[in-house]
Amino acid sequence: MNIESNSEVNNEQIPSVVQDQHTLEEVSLNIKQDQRQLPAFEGLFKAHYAALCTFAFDFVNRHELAEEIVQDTFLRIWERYDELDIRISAKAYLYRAVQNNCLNYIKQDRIRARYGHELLQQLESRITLMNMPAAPSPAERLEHSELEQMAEKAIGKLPPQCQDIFRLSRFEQLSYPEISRQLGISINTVKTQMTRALQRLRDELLPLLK
Amino acid sequence: MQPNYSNGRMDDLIAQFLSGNISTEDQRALEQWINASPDNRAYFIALRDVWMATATPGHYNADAAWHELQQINAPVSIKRWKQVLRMAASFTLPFVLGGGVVFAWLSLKKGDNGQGLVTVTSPKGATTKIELSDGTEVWLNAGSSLQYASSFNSRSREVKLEGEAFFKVHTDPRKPFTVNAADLKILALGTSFNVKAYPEDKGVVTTLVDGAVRIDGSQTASPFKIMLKPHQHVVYKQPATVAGNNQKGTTALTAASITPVETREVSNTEIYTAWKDGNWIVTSQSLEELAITMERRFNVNVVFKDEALKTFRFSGTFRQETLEQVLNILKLTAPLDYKIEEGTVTIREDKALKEKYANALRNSK
Repeated sequence: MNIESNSEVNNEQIPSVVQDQHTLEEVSLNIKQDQRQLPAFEGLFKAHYAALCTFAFDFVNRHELAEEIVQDTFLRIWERYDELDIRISAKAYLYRAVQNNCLNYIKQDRIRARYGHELLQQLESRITLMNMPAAPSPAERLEHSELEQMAEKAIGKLPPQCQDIFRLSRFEQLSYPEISRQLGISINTVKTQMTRALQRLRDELLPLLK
Repeated sequence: MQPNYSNGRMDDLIAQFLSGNISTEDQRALEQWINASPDNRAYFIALRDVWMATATPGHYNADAAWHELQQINAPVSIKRWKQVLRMAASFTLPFVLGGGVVFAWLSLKKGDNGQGLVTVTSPKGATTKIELSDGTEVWLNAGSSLQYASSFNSRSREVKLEGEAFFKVHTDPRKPFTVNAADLKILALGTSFNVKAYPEDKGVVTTLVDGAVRIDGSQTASPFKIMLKPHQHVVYKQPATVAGNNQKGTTALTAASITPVETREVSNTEIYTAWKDGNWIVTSQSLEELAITMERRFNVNVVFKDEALKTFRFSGTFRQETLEQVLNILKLTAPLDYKIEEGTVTIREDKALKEKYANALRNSK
């Protein structure tokens, strides 16, 4: 099986037509045939892993946890392949599954045991806030591959310093103090520029998100 | 909008929250503000959605993640996959030094939530040092195993010991550390102690070096509870006959009248704990007792050709000596001869040597 990267343009407006290369149907067929290699599943995993981890990171703010949640989600899909509703694209399904799994995953005792009480509360509250429904949902929106280009264009329009600060925070996940050290500016400047970046991006992108 | 917050402050907090630069208190304040009115909520959601729209796949290595799962074994069956993934995701395996073998068993029952057991086994002929996820250090003597649930340290800290171990417990007053050995429970709070409970010993010996432990023998035939002070040593012998709960009462429990516990002060606890540093301190032990330790320490079988030899007593300290060296040292003071072949040590009386020792004794009188 030839695994392509996830860059194919996906023109679906309503998620009813399956255009994804590795459909879940294909995956479950594979599993039913009990092949040892499971190329479809591997393809699905590799094609979406990084994007899904990034998505999960927005909810949990910890790389390690984000990766665990994505792996665990794939595991669940693997277990329940025969009950899957395959009328939507695999990509749409995966985003939704990861989003739903974030809160469930950290409800487990063995995961809770890792964090102190304060941290756990903050984590749960973050997931809840990031999960608050919007129409259309963030997961649905991320299926639009044009959005990425539009977002990139909007970021490119930010003033130079403001843009650098936003990129360091959003794409390198540096903290405010780290950005201030890196760019030799005060933390206060980082704070105000981040707020400004977000306001400007909202003005640019919000109309497109409706 | 709530009057007590300027919009600018909330904008800052939202940006800090989204980028993960917010304190716990500020996040609480933000949450309250968001829940205060539908307008606030919509305002936050718009910014949040914009933030999420700017996501680009970050530095995650899908090949490595997949490879990691493959390394253990290509997924041959669903069960295997589940194991591999669960292992990768959920187990804080102990840090092990020495010859120990870790076996993690995972329940594959649906709805069991990956509850599993971790067993660390120190094979005969090796001492293993383990560091548990709570920071507790455990030295596991040869031929012993330590078992705990994968939920260890989430609500409580409980381990099961078969054999001998020395514990250096990491203090956590909210979660006492419990060792289950034979039918005893040994409770500790930030202490160092040694527990010896090999199945063939038919009992448990607990030696406290420092701190405090409580021994709970309420599950035994003659229930008891003891608090131990440092440098105390408790020997508990399991009753030879165990009463079945049959109503006929045919089994009379003779051991019940005699308390099976004996507490002693020990001035030198090192005698009981030296093994963890590879030392072996012998204090007036019979050759029969030494043979049992030898079997564990060197992974051999010891056979006596002459019963009389079993009663010879020895004292001394062995460090890193090999089996031959140990036997040769014993030979210096006792009329014995030995043969080692294919993992079996045969000990016999050396008539010539015995004669010599007897003469030496007569001459010295």
